[in-house]
Amino acid sequence: MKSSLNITKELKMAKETSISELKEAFNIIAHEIKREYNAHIWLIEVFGKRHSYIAGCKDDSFLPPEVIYINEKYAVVSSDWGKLPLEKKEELFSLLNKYVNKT
Amino acid sequence: MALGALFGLYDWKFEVMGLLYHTRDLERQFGIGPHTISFPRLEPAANTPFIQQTRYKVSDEDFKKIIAVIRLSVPYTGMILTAREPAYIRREVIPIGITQTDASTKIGIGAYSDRYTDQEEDRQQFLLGDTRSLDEVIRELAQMGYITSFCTAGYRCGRTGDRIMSLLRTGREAVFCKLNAVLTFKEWLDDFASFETKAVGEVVLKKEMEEIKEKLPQNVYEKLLEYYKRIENGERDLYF
Repeated sequence: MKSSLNITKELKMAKETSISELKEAFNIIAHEIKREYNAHIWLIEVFGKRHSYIAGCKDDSFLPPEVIYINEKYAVVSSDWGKLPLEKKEELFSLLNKYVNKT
Repeated sequence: MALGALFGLYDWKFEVMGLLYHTRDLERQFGIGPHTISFPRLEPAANTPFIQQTRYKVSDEDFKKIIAVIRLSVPYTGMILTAREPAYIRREVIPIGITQTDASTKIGIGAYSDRYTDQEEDRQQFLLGDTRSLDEVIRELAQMGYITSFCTAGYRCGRTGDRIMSLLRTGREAVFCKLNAVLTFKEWLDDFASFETKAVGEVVLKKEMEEIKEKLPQNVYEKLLEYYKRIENGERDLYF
């Protein structure tokens, strides 16, 4: 079945806008990823060893979280990376990378 | 954000209401309440006769009421009881709902150096009620059936802000707390505990592991078991 999740569309809407719009777009993406793949993802801001929640899923699956860094300031966390198809994961990070490096 | 009031400066009922209204305001304004609440009592100190004379001094009975009221009013928050309080009070109030405490505490200038073994009134802000070591306090907690957690996992994977509020309000954060308590307690027992404390601590760990096996999904228990064994084999800083 073709995925209805359109990461590109959500992040295009957010590009060249503020962090609050990135949050809004990421919330939609996280919701859709959860609905389609039952994978919980959330966006965090990095302050040294301390990672602060910005947007995305507020629940998860009680398994060890894996942090994937977008750059030195932002990262995405999930306990369910294995549930997400590789191409979706790559699409997500490619677009997030473009976005956060503009902000 | 951590909230706290120094009790003994004014009527404790007013101070408790202040803490609770501050909590409600944080929830209303930001959707996130206090991460912790602390309620230190004034302690004897050099050249401060006010502390002995004040009519606002909080009795042990009222102190227990304060803790009970805060626990019931803000069920999601961490509650801090410090080494200001004597050991007998710590024993009594920890079961009421305390979640965080300290031990091996020294507050005098240079007090962690080997030269100072006892408290010295003129070298510190006030006198501590409980000067027991971390090993002694943890052993006593284990004898009471409590596991000690050294977990800081939440800060390192974004379980903060309104995400942790959501987990706390639904009770789901307790699952992470239990899993990470087991792993960090295991590390501490292996690395720092005395022989006696390790023996008591292992009994508590076993009980906690059995509870996790019974109550949590099989895949979570299996992952915990894997991490537990890796810690036993010398790996460190594994968390959920």
